[in-house]
Amino acid sequence: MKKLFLGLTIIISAGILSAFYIPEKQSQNIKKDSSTSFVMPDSVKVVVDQSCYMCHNSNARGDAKDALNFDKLSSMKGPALVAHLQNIEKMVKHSWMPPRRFLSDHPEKALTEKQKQVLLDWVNAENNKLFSGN
Amino acid sequence: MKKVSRKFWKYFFGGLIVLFVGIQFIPIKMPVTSENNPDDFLMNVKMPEHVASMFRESCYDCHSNETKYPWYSRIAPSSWLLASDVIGGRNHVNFSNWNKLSKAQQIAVLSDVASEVKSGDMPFWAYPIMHPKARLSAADRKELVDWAQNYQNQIFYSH
Repeated sequence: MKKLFLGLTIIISAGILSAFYIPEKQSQNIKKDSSTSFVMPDSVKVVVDQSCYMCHNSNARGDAKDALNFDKLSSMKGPALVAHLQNIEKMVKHSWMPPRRFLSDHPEKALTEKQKQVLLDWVNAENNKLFSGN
Repeated sequence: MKKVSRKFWKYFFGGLIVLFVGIQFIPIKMPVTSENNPDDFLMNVKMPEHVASMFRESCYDCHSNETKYPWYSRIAPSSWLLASDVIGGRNHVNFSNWNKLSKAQQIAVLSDVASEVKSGDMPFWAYPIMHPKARLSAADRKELVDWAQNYQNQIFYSH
């Protein structure tokens, strides 16, 4: 009985802890290149590199890159690209990204209102391009 | 484990019962339902019958205004869980408002449907326990995902 409780406690705490897992900063040689072939304006790229790219790139640990990978965004098109842009918009609008627990370790990566607007305007512009008789 | 006295258990379960009765008096407002949704997804989008029934059985209780509340929605604490699930579900996607979404938003919703259903994250694992009809087989999932992906293309390339 005691063992059972101990086991359960361990499993439950492991579950809770894993929810807080954030991939550690990786070795310094990240390919610092989020450039895309649908040319991402420099003003946008600066913001993405500052606040998003660290987790959302091909070499990042963790599963953030499965949801959004700025190294692959450029090769996307059609509905897949539309969906990704919509998700970026939603995350930025609601301030769901970057995640709060990430920001507590990296406060300098928070998005300012101005930077949010840069991202939102960019999403909007790309959207208009996508839906204006491409 | 140290033997706990019988008295302890008596108070423990007695306390639980008092607590259970007590929480029934906490007022709770369940999210409102409505059958009249002119912008509804299933009403406005043509799709195979089986796909439509999967949406209705597996998604609509939380992701539309047409929530069918079960009997335990009248009993705390399950009522609290249900209320928060329905509020959360509708916040993410509410199929009753389909026609109010832009094409881009519709595509994003279908993309989410495809990835959530494919990964098995949706329907939420606890839901089919109480709603057996909501259970999706591997074949069901594939059918739903394929349809959602195809329809994204249709929306995109038909503008």
